[in-house]
Amino acid sequence: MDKSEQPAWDGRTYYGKPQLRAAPFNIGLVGSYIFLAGLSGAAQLLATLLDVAQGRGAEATVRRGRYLAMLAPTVGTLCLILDLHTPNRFYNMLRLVKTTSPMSLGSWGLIGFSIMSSVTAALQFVTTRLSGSWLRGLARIAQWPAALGGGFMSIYTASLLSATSTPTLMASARQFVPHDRGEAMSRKWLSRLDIHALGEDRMVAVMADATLLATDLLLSYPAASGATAFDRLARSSAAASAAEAALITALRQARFRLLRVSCDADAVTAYDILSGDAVQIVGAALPSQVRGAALFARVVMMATTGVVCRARSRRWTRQPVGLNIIDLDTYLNHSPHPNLRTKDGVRFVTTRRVQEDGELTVNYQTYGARLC
Amino acid sequence: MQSIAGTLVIAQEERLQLLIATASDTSSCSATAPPSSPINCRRCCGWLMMSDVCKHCHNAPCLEACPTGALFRTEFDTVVVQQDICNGCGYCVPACPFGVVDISLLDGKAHKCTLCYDRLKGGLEPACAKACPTDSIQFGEVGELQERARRREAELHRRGVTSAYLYGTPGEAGATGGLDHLNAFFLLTAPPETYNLPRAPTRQANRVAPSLAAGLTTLVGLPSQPARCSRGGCNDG
Repeated sequence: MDKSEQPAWDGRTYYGKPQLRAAPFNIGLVGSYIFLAGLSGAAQLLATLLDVAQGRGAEATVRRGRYLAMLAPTVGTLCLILDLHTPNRFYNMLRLVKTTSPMSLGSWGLIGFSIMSSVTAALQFVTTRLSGSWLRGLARIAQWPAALGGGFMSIYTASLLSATSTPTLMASARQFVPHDRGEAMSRKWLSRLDIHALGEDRMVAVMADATLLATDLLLSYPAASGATAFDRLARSSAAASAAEAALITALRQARFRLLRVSCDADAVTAYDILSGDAVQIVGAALPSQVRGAALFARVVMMATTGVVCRARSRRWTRQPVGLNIIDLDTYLNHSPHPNLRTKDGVRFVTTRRVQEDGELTVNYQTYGARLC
Repeated sequence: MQSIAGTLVIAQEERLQLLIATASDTSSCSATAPPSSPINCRRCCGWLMMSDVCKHCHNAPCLEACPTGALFRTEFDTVVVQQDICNGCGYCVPACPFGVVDISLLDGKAHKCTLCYDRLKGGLEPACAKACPTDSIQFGEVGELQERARRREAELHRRGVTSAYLYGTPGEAGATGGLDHLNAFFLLTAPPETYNLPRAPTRQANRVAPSLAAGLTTLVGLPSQPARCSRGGCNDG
């Protein structure tokens, strides 16, 4: 935005200012260190594994690996110290050990790795000069703690970045760990069912239901950055064909809707109860008992054809006995500017006046945090 | 460290309208506008002030991230940077979910609001609370202030300002993600983003174990690759 035209306060942000402060790291120095730490750590680890697996046969590679592992202790450490804004106090990093701080853990890890790698490299150097020395055995012992340190060096830098409040980086911390929200949700539904009273086919249908809806919610669940899996898909497939792009756009806009299924015998049509839109359900085989029923479904609206894709949460395959309990938290749409807030995902309080017929929305992130 | 506290309530609610009335000459709103119409006022003018006070979180991410121990918790349950220890690594800056702490390029140390640690030591209240002429910033013991804020919130709701809510008290917005509660908390009438506050701040320490576990899993999982490769019959010599 042009500096001269300072944004007028529009009530959505604070004069367009960012909420967070940018990390004051020198990208070149810290980037170099992260690269060198990974390179050295992995080199030490691979050299050790290779030495154990192939012994003398891989002598040359092991030697290079041990020398390569000296990059982080030397050049890498120098980069880190230069990045400090008060470099002459670098030793303050070793005042204490703090498990909540990857930088503290990393400082100690780097010290340990540096010592053990230096010992291994020095022994290697001497062994190369004086062939057949007994020091070779000593190097084979010293390489083990060095390799452990190497393993730590090659992974902790990811923690260093993700244990911050920078949205993109903090979202990546959870990228590899199972998303407990989906699991918790499926379990919650399944625990409500009397499994033994169900026939096998019914049980399979119910399980498929729970899995489908949980998967779907996970895909539409915003990460810390506010982007959903569909948003990321859209970003990564910029060169998609027009039809594909339209589908992705429709997926991004999929929302829960309250539908009423028409009573006609031949055509399966549903009506959005709130807006009154008639929507056609594509590719769904509805059991007869849902005709005339109201159902919550997450629907994908195709703008070009005006046709609704298959409703993604096949709620109607659940046992039509008694009142199906509706988890309010599951059937509220996400919005970054919600009008409801909740502490526990059960009780909801409006945060502002809601217009008549207006949709109630929540921010999934606020109570999703409880589960994570 | 349990009960004592330096704490602030910033009551943005109707002070906002007073500010607006003085700031704008073209506006149709005035200081006498009913308290239930802050939205209308905002549309026409747009003058909002927010204190960039450190929230002195109960579980402070900056303190937890600080590798040198320069950031510490005082006897008043506030969080302060010790300038003689800080080496300017800057790790507290991205750790803070509120964008408060920053590095000074002049002296190379981290700086942030100390809630006037020196004044508190001398038995005085923080300068901001002392100076504020409208009492929008109030200082006291946390528990008592939280009570006062809850009463004020209920009173505003009764008067029709249903948008009023607390930010940073236990279990409310701003006290999410393991922060427990903020020692400087707010009574607001618009969404948190309006005041440049995050909706759901989190503790950076939450992500240490998951990210290390993710790395470890990857590291342990890697050796299975060549095994699969050799079974598949590929030969890289």
